[in-house]
Amino acid sequence: MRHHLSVALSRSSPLVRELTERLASAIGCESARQEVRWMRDALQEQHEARDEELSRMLARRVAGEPLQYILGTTPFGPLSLLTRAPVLIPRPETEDWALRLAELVRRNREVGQNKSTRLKVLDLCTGTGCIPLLLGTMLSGDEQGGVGGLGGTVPVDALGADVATEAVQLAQENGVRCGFVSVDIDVDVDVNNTAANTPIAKPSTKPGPENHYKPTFTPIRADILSPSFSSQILASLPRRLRPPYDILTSNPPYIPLREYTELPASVRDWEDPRALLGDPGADLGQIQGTSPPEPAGTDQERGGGDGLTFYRALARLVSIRSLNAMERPLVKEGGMFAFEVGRGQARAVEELVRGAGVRETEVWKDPWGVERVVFGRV
Amino acid sequence: MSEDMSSPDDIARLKQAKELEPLCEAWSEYASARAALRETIPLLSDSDPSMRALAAEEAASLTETLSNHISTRFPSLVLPRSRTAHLGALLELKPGVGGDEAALFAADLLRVYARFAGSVGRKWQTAVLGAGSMTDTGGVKEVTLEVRGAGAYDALRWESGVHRVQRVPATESNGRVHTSTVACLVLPLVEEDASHGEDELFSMDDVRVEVMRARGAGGQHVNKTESAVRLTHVPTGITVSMQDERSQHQNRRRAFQVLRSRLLDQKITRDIADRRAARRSLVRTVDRSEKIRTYNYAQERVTDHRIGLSIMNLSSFLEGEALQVFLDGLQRRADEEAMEELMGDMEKS
Repeated sequence: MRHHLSVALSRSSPLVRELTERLASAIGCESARQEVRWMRDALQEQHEARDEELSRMLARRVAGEPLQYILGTTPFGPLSLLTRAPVLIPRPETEDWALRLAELVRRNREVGQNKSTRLKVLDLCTGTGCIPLLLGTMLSGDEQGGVGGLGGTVPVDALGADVATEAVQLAQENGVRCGFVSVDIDVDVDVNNTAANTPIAKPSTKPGPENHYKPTFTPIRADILSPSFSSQILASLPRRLRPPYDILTSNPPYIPLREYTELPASVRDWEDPRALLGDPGADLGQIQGTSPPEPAGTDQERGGGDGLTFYRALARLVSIRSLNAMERPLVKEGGMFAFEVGRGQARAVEELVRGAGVRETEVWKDPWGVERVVFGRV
Repeated sequence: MSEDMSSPDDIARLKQAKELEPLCEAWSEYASARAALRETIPLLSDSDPSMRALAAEEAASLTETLSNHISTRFPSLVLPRSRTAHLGALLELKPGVGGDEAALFAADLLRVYARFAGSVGRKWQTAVLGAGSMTDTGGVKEVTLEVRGAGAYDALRWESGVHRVQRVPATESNGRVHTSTVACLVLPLVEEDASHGEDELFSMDDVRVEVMRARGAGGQHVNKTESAVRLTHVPTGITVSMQDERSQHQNRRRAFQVLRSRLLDQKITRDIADRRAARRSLVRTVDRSEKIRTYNYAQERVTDHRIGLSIMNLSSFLEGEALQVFLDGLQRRADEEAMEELMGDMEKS
C-alpha cells in the first residue's frame, strides 16, 4: 500500500513538514502532496526512504528545481528516461505527438510494401533522445512481443543530433537504458569539424545479425544551423545513418526572446537556453552569461525575434528545390516529417515548409488544444 | 481420449468431468445411504429388542442424511456456476454524509478490505488507486482498491451499498456520537490482455480522452508534470479520471481498466435484470443506495441489515478477519434466492 501522506508527515521530521508546506504554497496543496508521494516512491525504490533524503529532495524542489531533475527520470510513453540538468525535460505534448506519429507510421507500413526493410529516422535537436527512442520502441516491438506497444516489427535506425555535449551524452545513456544499440561511427562529426575531438557516440554493440530486429539509436553532436550540416556531416556517416531518411522529426528551440524572459523560473533557470531559445543569435549573454553558438545566415536568421530560426533551417533541409550536386534530399520521396512548434507558430512554420516546396502539410493539435506540430509528406 | 489426454477435445471432456465430480459424489453418497436404509428396514421388526433399537437409531440417521441431500445438497448442485468466478475486483469507496468523519471512516474501511484481500491464504494482489486524494486529517475523498485474482469479485460483490458508522469522531471534542456514511461500489475487474475481440466492451471511437488542467502555452514553456487524464464513454456518459501516476501513459491505462470494469458491471446488472424480467418475478433488484451495514463503536457491534446478522466484535472486523462471516452469510442468502427463482421457473413450466 502507498504511503499515507498526512500520517507519514505526522511521523516526519519538522524540516520535512516545513518544506512540504513551503512547496504547497508554491505549487498548490494537491500538487505538493502528489510530488512528495512520488519522491517517497522513488526513494523507496532505492531503499533510502529516510527523512534526510526526502528533505534534501524537498529543499531542491522548494528552490525551484524541476521534479524531473530531482528524481532523475521522467516517464515518456511506456519508457522511463533519464533526465539531468540542463538537458531539456521531455514534455507531455511531445509524448503525445510522438505516439501519434508512431501509430501513423505503423499503419502506413501495413498498407505499403517493403514491410521488412528497416526504417531510417533522423531527429534534430534530440535532447534526451525521447522522440526517436519512443518511435523506435513503439515500432520495433520484436517478435516475442517486445517492448513495443504497437506490436509492430519495424526495426528502426535512428540518428539523433544535438549541439550540446550534455544532451548527446544523456541521449546515449537513454539509448542503452531503452535497449537500443548504436551504430559505429568512424568519423568525428564535431560541429566545427575540428579534428581534435574524439567522437562522442561510442558503439555499445555492433548491430549484427542477432540484432536484426533490434532498433538502433546513434546520437551525434552537430549543429543543424551549420551550412555543412547536411552536405558534409550527415553525408559522411555510415551508410545506414546517411540521408535520405524515412522520417525526420524535430523539437527545436522555439521560444522567442521576449517570451524567454517571462518563462517560469523552473524552466528559465534550469533548462539549457540552447534547447529553448528560438532566436539563438540574440544577445543571450546578458541573460545567462553564456555565449551562444554563432549561427550562419542572414540577420533575420540570426534571431528575428520570432523564434523561428530553426524552422528556416529545417525548411531548407526538407526543401526539394534548391538541391545542388552536393546535397541529397534529406527526406525520401514518400517520407514524412514532424516538427514541434510553440503556441501561435504553426501557421508560420507551415508557410515556411510550403515555401520550400512541400505540398502535403497538416497541423496537429496537442491534448490541450494548442496547435503543436507541423506535419508534412514529401 | 488420447493417451496423454492433452488434445483440445480431451481438455474439454476433462473439464466437464471435473465439473460433474461434486454431482457424482453427492449421488453416490445418496445411493449408498438409500441402500443402507433398505437393508435396515427389515431389522426394525427384528425379534431381538436391542437389534430393533439399533436399527431404529440407524434408520433415523440415514433418513436425515437422505432428506438433507434432497433439501439442500442436490438443489445447490443445480445452481448455475458463477459466470464471474474468474474475475478480480475494483472496490470503490466514497465518503457520504458526515464530512471529515466520513472520509476517516472510508480510510478505515479501505484498511479492512486491504487486510482482508491481502491476508495469507487468499492469493490476491492489492493496489490502492487514487491515494492522492487523501484529506488533511487522514481520511480519503475517493479511493479504489484494486484486487487482482480469481474469485475476488464474487467474494466482495455483496459489499456494494451504504455503510453507516456510529461513533465519536477523533475530531469531535465534545464526545458526541456522530452518524456518517460511506458508499461502497464493487466492480468486476477485467484483466487487460483478457479483453479483446468480440468481448470488447466498447469501441475506441466512443471514448473521449481529455487531459486535465490548462497548461498555458505548454510545450517548452512549461516543465511541470501534468499527467492527469479523464475518459468519457460517450454512449453511457461514464467518466473516469486518473492522476496517481507521473506517467500519463500509465494513468490512461488505469483509466481504461476502470472504464472496462464499469461497463462490465453495467452489463452484468443488465443481464440479471433481463433474466428477472423474463421470469416476471418480483425479486427485488440490488439497490446500491441501500443501507447495508452499521458499525456501532460504543457497542462493539457490526450489523448486516440484509441478513440480520450482528457480531459483537467490531475490533476483529476492523482487522479484516470477521468480514468472512458476513460474506459467507450473504453468499448463502444469494444461493437461496437463486434456488427460489429456479424453483419458481420449474413450477411455471
